[in-house]
Amino acid sequence: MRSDDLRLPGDIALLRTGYALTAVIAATFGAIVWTLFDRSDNVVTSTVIALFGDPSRPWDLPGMHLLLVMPMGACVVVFVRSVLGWKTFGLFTPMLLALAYLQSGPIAGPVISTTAILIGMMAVPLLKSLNLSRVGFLGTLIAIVVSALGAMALEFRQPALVSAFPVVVTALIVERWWNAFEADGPKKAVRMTATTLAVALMIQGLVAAPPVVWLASERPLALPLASIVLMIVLGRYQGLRLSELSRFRAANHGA
Amino acid sequence: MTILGMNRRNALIARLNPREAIKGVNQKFETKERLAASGVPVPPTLALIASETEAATFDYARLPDAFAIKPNRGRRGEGVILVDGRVEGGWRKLNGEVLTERMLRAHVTRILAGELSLEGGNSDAALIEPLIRTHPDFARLVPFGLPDIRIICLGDVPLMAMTRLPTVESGGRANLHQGAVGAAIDFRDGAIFRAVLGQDEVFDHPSTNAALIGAVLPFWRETVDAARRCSGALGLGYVGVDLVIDATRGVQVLECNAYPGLEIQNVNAAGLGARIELVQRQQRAKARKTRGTRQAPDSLAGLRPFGSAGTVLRDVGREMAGRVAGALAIPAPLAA
Repeated sequence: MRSDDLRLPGDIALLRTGYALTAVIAATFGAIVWTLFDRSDNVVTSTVIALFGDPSRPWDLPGMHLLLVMPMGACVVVFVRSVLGWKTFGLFTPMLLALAYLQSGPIAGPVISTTAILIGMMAVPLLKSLNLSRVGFLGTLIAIVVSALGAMALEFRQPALVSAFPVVVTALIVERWWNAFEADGPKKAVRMTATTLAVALMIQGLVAAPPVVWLASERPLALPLASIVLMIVLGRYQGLRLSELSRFRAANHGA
Repeated sequence: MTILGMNRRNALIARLNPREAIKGVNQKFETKERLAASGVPVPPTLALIASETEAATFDYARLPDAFAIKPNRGRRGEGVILVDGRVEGGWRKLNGEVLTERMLRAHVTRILAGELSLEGGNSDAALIEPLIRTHPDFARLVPFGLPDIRIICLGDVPLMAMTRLPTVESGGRANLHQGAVGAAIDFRDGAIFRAVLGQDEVFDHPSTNAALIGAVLPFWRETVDAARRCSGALGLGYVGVDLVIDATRGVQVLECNAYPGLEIQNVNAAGLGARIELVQRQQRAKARKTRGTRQAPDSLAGLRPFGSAGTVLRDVGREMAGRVAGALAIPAPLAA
């Protein structure tokens, strides 16, 4: 009998907790999207504002900051890949995604990009059935995501929200998601999407942290130079990845 | 460090496997030619259809009753059709479906257009080989699908071996991730000493209930011998050799992998890292010995002071690294 055939009471409880958590996250997510686009005063919007503050507030970072922290984001990606061993879409997709967040705001960024990705995911099966070339597919996907976001922004008179949103990154993520879905199945694809978003959130939190912002304004070159050193060190790391500790459990017990 | 992780494997491959050699193993026909030239047994080629004009004039009627058709630069067994006999108006596929000559032609066209090949390919060739039938000793363990043997070699030194046995769940495919059983093989006698399904250790085959532990593979000496020659033939310093045992032709190398997976360590319950270190230490010791007996230095070495300085530094570094690794490494016997 294989271990994944077992359905113990503890497993079932865990599964139910997981479902409940997913439902709560989905509901919160929906409420935030609603508040972002519909600014009228009602129960949902006032609750969201009370809980999270105004979700459409921007980061308000100096223009140079975005450029200076890019190496730091890359550094996090290198760390996540070769030390933690988490699988993300593409090489530096999480970093690009985090930059997109920085342009739109701490809450608006993740929420709008996830919405755009969800819209794209729904459009993919339709586009795949049209047998387009890869470029044609990506172009159409970009147009669809833009149309959906633009329609929401215009309908609720919030054009500033999506004006500078990097749609190309979103389209690339949707395409990679679909490739992973076809090659490795839904479970792995969902996991990789979640990891990509989580790493992007981590990078956002790190590069917008007050000490980092202060350092970037006081010693502009300190961050990129430190990142270079750190990435050279990380790039030479040849030990086991964190994820491999559990992957090679069987090999380790015997050795 | 006894387990070989992804980071160290990639560094090893970057150092030992040249780019052209890695590209080379993606082409099945060219790989077979190279292997055959070094005396490695490979499946014979019935036909190689390289262009549309060749496909148009190809006489499909002269194909034997049982054959396999595959894209020359295929990936993961995609686009492979296995034919097992003739029926009215065509052939019978291994899964029982009928393959007419028109369907076969359409498939060849798809292969030639590169639709079934590795990414970045927009043209390919179709390779036709006789169908491989599993050796009876193997078929006793699992009567369906094609079980294969994977041997990881560092140069001509075999490091670790396993056999992948298809199950009903894996759909007859010898792929561990799709539910095939992985069984570790003892180099000394070719006997299975441990078997794994997914994360769990098993003792019998889950679909046939045949006892796996202690089962001895046929032609084991020839199998290891064939695997050892692949590295030199293909120019790969670190290679995963996939072999099958055909009922009539015996050992055949099906494929060589320049990026062999690491799952074999879980199947063997042992790490590749320690074995690689042991082999490299022995190779370094051998190299030192031959350097000591050589008399005159290279006449060019004097003309390139920086070149020779670099060599000296590298040798010193190696020596030091060898000493450190030697102090840390746990000696592991090569045979399981």
